[in-house]
This record gives sequence, C-alpha cells and structure tokens, in this order.
Amino acid sequence: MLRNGISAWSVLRCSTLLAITVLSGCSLFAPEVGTLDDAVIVVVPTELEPQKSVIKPRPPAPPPEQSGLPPVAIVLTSSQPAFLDVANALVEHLDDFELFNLSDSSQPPVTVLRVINDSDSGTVVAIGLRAAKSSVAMSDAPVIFSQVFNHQDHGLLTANSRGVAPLAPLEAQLAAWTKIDPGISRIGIIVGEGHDALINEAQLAAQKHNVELHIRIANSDQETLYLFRRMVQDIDGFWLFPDNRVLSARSLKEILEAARRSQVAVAVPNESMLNMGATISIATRAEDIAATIAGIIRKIQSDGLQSIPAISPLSAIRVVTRDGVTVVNR
Amino acid sequence: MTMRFAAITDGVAKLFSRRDPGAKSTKRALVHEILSIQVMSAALIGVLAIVGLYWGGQWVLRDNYSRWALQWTEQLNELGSPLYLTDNHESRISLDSFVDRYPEIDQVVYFAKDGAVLHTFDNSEDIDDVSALSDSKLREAIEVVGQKKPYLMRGGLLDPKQFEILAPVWVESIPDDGLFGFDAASADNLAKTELIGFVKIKLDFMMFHDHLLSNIRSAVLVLLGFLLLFALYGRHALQKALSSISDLQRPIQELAKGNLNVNFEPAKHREISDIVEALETTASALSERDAQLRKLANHDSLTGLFNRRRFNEELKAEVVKVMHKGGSSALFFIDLDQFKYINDACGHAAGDRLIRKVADELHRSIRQDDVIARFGGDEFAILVRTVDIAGATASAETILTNMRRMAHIEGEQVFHVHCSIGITMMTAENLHHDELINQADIACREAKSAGRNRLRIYSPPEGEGQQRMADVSWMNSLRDALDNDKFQIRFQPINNIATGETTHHELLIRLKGEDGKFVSPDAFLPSAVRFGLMNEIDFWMIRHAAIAYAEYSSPESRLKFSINLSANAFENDDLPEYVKRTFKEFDVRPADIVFEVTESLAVRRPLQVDQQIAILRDLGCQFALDDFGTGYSSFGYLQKLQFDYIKIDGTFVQDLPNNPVDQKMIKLIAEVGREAGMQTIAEYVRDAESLELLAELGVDMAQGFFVGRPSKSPISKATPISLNMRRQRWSRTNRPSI
Repeated sequence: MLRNGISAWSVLRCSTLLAITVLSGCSLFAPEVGTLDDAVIVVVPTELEPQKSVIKPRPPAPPPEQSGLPPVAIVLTSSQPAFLDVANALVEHLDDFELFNLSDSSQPPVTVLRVINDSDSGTVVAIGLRAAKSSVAMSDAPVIFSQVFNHQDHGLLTANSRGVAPLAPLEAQLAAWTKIDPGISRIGIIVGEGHDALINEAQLAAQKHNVELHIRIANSDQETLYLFRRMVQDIDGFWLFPDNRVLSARSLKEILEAARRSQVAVAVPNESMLNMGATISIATRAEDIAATIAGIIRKIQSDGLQSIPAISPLSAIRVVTRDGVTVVNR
Repeated sequence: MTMRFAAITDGVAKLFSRRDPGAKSTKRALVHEILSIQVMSAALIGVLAIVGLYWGGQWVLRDNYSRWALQWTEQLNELGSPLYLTDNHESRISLDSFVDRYPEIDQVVYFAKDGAVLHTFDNSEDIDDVSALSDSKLREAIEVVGQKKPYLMRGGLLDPKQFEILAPVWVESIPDDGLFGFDAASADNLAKTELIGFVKIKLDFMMFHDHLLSNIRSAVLVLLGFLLLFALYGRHALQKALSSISDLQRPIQELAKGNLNVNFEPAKHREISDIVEALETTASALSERDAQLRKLANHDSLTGLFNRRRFNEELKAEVVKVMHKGGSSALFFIDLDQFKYINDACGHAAGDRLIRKVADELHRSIRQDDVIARFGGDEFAILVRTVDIAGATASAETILTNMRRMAHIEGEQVFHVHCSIGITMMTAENLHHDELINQADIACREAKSAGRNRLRIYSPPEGEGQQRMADVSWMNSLRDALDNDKFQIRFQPINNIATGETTHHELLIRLKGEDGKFVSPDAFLPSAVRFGLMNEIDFWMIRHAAIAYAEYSSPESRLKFSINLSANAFENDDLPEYVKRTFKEFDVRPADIVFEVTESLAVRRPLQVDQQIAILRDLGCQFALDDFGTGYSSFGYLQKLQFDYIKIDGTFVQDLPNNPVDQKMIKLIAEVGREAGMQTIAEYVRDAESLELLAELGVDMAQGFFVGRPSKSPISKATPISLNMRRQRWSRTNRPSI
C-alpha cells in the first residue's frame, strides 16, 4: 500500500490510462478534440458500472518516461471518487508528490498548508472547492485547482493560481450528443450567474452543430425548476450544467421527471444521474484532468505561471447513455 | 324535538291508516304500529347515514382541501420564488394566471423574510386588507421549514370559507462540491436550505361545500323516496304477513256481538292456528251455553213446554202473519179443573207429576205446527195456527176428550183431571196480542163458571167495535198526556174510623180532557192496558207520588201515600230498581208508601207478584190488597200474600145500611183480616150511617166522599167518631185503675 491508501492496482490502472493518453497524442495546450468517428463505441451491460468500462486493447505502450516535474503537493477536498480518481491519475505523471486529504479531521486546512509551505513543493494541486479555497488562500506555491465549477464565486483565480475546466469540452459534448441523438435540435440550458464564458462556448458549439440553444439564468433551484417548466415545451434536449447554486436534489428530480414526461433528452455531467432518468451522461475523464494538470505543472516549470491561461480546457469526454452505450473519446 | 317526532309518526300512521267508515275505535292498527316502527327505524338509520355522509364528506373534503392546498403551496412556492430573487414580471403574470385558474383561491400574499408584505394577488372582491406577519406567526412558519408538512393550515370542517395556509418559501442548493460524484440517495440530506420569504393562501371551498350539501339534499330526497316505497311495500307485506291475525278481526267482532255461528278461516301460522282453535272451542262452548240459556229462557222447566214469554213471541208473530196474509188462527186458554185439590191432597210433587202428564197429553193433542205453552200453575195456552172457528172448536173438543180419558195414578189413587178451555179467534179485526190472551182468559172463566170441563168461545160485548175506535183515540190522548205531562194527581184521604184522623192518602190519577173536564181513570186505563201504556203510567204515578211526597211531607208532618199499581207494573223487572232510584232521588221514606194491588192480579199471578212484593217490602214499603171481594181468591191467599191492608171493594159498602149480607161479609173480612194481621179499609163510604156501621163491624179505616173527596193537595179532614166508639174510648180512658 502506497502513501495515503493508494493501492498497487490503482497505480497499474492509472499507468495504463496514462500510456493510452500519451500514445493518443492529445495536446495539452491546444487540444484537438477527436471526432466521434475515431471513438470506440462499446456496448456495455444495462446496469451501468462506470468503473467497469471496457476499453479496446491497444498495442503495448512504451515505458513511461521520467516526468522531471518538481515535487507537487496534492490537496484533496475529500476522498470521493471524483477527486480521488484525478489524484490517482495525476500521480502517474509525478515523481515526487505528497497527497493531503482535507476530509481527514486530524489535518485541518491551515495545518496542511503550513506543512505544504514548509515543504519543498513547487506546486499545489487542489482538487475540489475546499482544497482550492484553502490552497489559494494559504499556499506560497502556485496553485492549480480542478473539479471546481463556480470558482468565480470564491475568487480562486489569483496571480498565484490557475484552474482546470470542470467540464468536458462543450463542443465535444455536443458532437457526441448530436451523434448519438441526431434528432436533437433545440437544447435548453439553465445556469446561474457568472458563467458568460461557458455560455459563449456553448453557443459556439451549438452553432457548429446547428443546434438552437435556449439559455436562461436562474438564481435558485425553484427558479431553475420554474424556468425549466416554461422551456420544456420548446426544447427537445436539456443540457444540465453542474451549477450547484441553482440546483437541488428536489429540483433535479422534478426536472428529470418533467423532461421524461415531455420526452426531452437530458444530458448530465455525472453518470449517477442516469439512474434518476437522465438520457445521456457526458463527463470528464480523470486521466484527462490529470494530464492537463501535469501539462500545466510542466508549463509553470518551463515558462512560469503567467503563460498559463486562467482556466485550462480539457480534451476528453466519457459518454454513457442510459441504454448502455459508452463512448470513449481517445 | 320529541313532540315534532311524535307528530311526524302520527302523520305517517294517519297517512297509511285505512279505517273503516263505521269504525269507532281510536286505537292504531298493528300493521301501522309495526310499519311506523320500521319506517321510523329506517328513517333514523337514513338520518344517521346522511349525517355520517355529511361529516364523512366534510372529512374527505378537508383531506382534499389539504392536499390541494399543499399542491398549490408548492406550486406557488415555485412560482413565487422569482419574485424574491429577480422580481420577474413574467413570473407575476404567471402567478396572476395561476390564481385566476383556481376560483377556490381567494388571495395569495407573498411576505418577505421579516414578514413584510411583498406582493398580493386577489381572486375575490370581498377580501380583507393584508397586514404583515406577526412575530409569533413568523416563528411558527420558520419552524416548519424542511419538515414533512412544511406549512401551517387553519381551517374547519364547518367553515369552508376560512381555509388558510401559511408556508415558508425557501430555496435549496447542492453543496459546493455536491455535483461532483452526485448521489441522489444522500443528496436530500446534504441540501443547503435558505429561507427567502413566506406565502399565505386564503382559500374558499364554499363551492365544494355547497356541492356536498346539494348532493346530500339529493340523497335525502332519494332516501325519502325509498322510505315511501318501503312504507308502501312494507304495508302491503305486513298486511299479508299479518293477514292471519287480521282475518280474526271480523269473526271476533261477530263473536262479540253475540253471533256464535262464526266461521274461522284456517290460519297460516302456527301461533294463530292455536288461537283460532281456542276461539272455535270457546265459540262452540258459548253456543252450547247460549242454547241452554235460550232453552231455559224460553221453556218451562217442569214440562219443557214454551213459557209465557216465548209463547207471547209466537203469538205476536202469528198476529203479524194474520195481519198481512189474512185468514184466522185461534188462541186457547186452558185451566185445569180442581187441580188445587190434587195438589193439596197429594203434595206439590204429585202436582208437578200431574202437570207434566197433562203437558204431554196436550202436546199429543195438537198439531205439529201449533204452539203450546205453560203459563204457570195449572194454566196452559195453545196457539192453533190457520184455523177457522169450526176447526178450533174441533181441536178444543179433541183436547177435552183426551183429557177426560186421561187418568193419573198417584200412589193408590187414580185421578181424572179435566180442563176448561177458553177460545178466542184471531182475525183481522181482532189482533191485539194482550187483548187476545185476556179474551181467551175470559172465555175460560166463563167455561169454568158454566160448570167446567167444557169450552167457551169468546164473543165480544156489544159496541166493542166502537169501543175499539174509542180506544185508539184514547191511546193517542194517553200518549200525548205522557209525553207532555198532562196527567194530574188527586189526593183522597183515608181516615181511621176509631180516631177520625187521616192515616194516609190514596193517589188517584186524573186526565184532563180536551173539554177541560177531568176524565175518570175507568175511562182511559183499559185503553192504556190495551195499548201497552200502563207501565209508563205506573212509573209516572210512582215518580209523581215521590214528587208530592217531597213537596208535602216533612219530618214534623209526615204523610203517607197509597199508590195503585197495575199488573203491567209487576211484569216489569225494573219496578223495584225504579222505585228505589226514585225514592232516593226525592228522599222518600219507603215506610210512608203503600202500594195497592188488585185482588184479581194477586190471585192470577201469585208467584210473580209475590217476588216483586218481597223486594219492595224489603225496601220498607207496605202493601194493600185492593178491591178485595171481587176476585177469585180464598181467604187462604190472604195469609200467603202478606199484605198490610185489605181494601174492601166498594160494592160491599155502597148499600151497607140496607144490605145485611154485605154487613156480614164485611164483618167476616174484618175479622179475618184482623186475625191475619192486616188492617181493613172500606171504600166508597158516602154517609155517616155507613161509617157508623163500619165502625160496628170492626173495619179499621174508611175512604169515600163522606171521608173526603179527591183534592189537588193532601187535605186531612177529621171524620166524626161513632157514638159507640166514643163510649168505648171513654170507658177505656176513665176505667178506674185496680
């Protein structure tokens, strides 16, 4: 057992994924999103088990190269898979790292950051909002945060911090969706305030795929529900963005139920929502996030933090439909 | 409420009552009683059901109200949240249209977190102005945030206008990292809740309440309809079921009326069958007893022949028959000759045996269609139907012959008993029932007078036809006199010869004729007897005697009255009771009343007279034997009949000074009377000489014009005492004491 409970199996898995990523030749700074024509479509059993997704075997990968990256402090908000998977994938890219989990009550954030500051960590990777907030506030080293949607509400972007996009590339998402469901032509989006860039990206993607977007800004879950009920007759697809400020379990259930009744397809960012009635899950991939973070760390080392964009986009998507179709973008 | 309920049950009973037009009973029929109970029970159950329906409906409605209210609250919560966060105009329009869509929503008010009114949406014109929420209300509302029932509801079952819901408006969100690795199962527990305000909804469910009431009214009408049908059908069914009881009604009514020949229908039910059997047994027993009683009432117990009463019925029927169909019948009055001799010689048992033998012989001597009766003692009567005078004579001759041949052996003696027969013919001109018997009786007396053992046919004296017409006229006058109280009483004194003092007064009836003159009783009393009015006259006399007694008599000056009674009076079983009642009414002392009975009556019907006299004597009254000397009695009867006075017939007194035989007779009567304990009264005393003579002959009292004439009021006038009497009195009072 490695430090902080990381098993050998996880390491093996992450290594394999990393190799695949590397061999797939994905660009860190200007990712070209592969088309779905290149994707491998694999039918999985009806019961969705994301961790058991089957990947088509590839030619053996070359041995991993030495990363040459400085020591990295990885700070996790919690041990939930969304964070842990990223950390596991990231460590494959690192020679020297230290992992800190803020869900461990014996390690309050201030203590952790003190330790980090006292260490020789060149970069802090914060996964999750709590880790990001603490790291950005207290870290002396540059901070790269990921798995944070509403970073703007918490002032996470500073001179000493950069972020990784919380969502898979919107164009790739839309391409996958329209490929799977060619009839989709009118898609609704309800999101909270402060996501103009996201909205712009969505509109560009929609334009490319001849999709009409109906975008509304909400301020609460009630309002989200209210706006959804009003738009549901005008759309045939709903693109759920993971803005927790304007969503609640209750409103999610209502939206999915209303969408089902109105036969509106719903794309969600989390496979677990497929059980609630969503039509398609288009999520990020931890390997992609980890590779992106690793790329940022190298860039920081080579060119400095200023060369890094505020939010670095991702390049990979993982699409799972409710009827068991999985699409993995190389 | 109870009186109204009773009135309703009476009304229901009357509605279904079917009383016979002639029914006098005010009791309810059993069918109606049972039906009333059933209908009332059904009505009560129906009422309970309706009440249950109403309350149940109200509970259901309230349940629904709650659900609707909650649903609307959630919807309004959702619809209203934009008002708090963005104040969206579109959301206002949506809220307006939502509220308009539901007329049950009177008003929706959104409050800020501090309770201040933000927005109001009214759906009703008569709604009160809204004020901010009070602190207590705010606290209450805050406490329900996130609860299973996140609202406060106020509303009552009985007041559907007062439904009100106050609910907090809050928003939820997923924790910051919640959507990364979202888990629906645990997401609710992790939700962040933020209260943003309150919404109050005023609801008016009167429409549903009215609808419920309308349904209930319809249910009530349907229920009433069913009740009516149930009542109508139930009446029919009950009547059918109880028919075995109601079938008993008419036969029992007939039984109660005395008709013992009723038929009872066989009962369908076991219990009623037992009752019917018992009734049939009872009717049979009553019928037998009735037959026995009829037999006893109609027959002579010694001979088995018809008795007088029954014979009179047959006679009356025969009178009617002859009257309508014409023809003639005959009435025989038969009296045994010398029966008394056999009775006295051999005893009453032998006399009874003889009477039975005679009855059998007479019965054999007549036709089957003829009627024979024993009138009492040794008197018989025979109704010979449809026969002329020759046939009647032949029939009577047959009887005489058979009787002559008949020999009665009693012990070692053989008796030949003959009879005397009086015959009267019943024709269209001679049909008065009482008169017929009298005629036959008279004819029989004539036969006896002529030597016995023979027959005599009654022939009316001359002028009887005219007499009949006069009688009818008298009948009308007498009827009028009775109806209009036209009789009058006159008082004639009876004086003690020895003392010259009035002992009592005889009451004499007078009738004022149309000419204003008074008519003697001899003129109208026979007609009264003939036309059956005598009984009424007798009772009139008794009553007016009592009235006179009350008027004239006092404890200081007591009067004594003597009243004549006819034979009809003694035939009336009500006589003693009437006397008792009248004496009580006018406070008459019975000892001050003397009833006069004619000798002939006393002799002819001794048993009946004796019974009535016994009752009246027990009451305290006294009795006088009137017209003594004119009847057929012997002195032996005087002892038997127990009279207080003997009134010597006037025929013996009228010419007393010149008739030594009358003097002897009177002396004898006085002596016998004295020995028998009776006082003698001489009638028709007209002069002093007669009075003097009567005193010498030992008569106690005198009555007549010399003593005093009849007057309107009881006058007492002393009569002169005879010289001998004076001498005797003087010697008694002045005899020196030894």
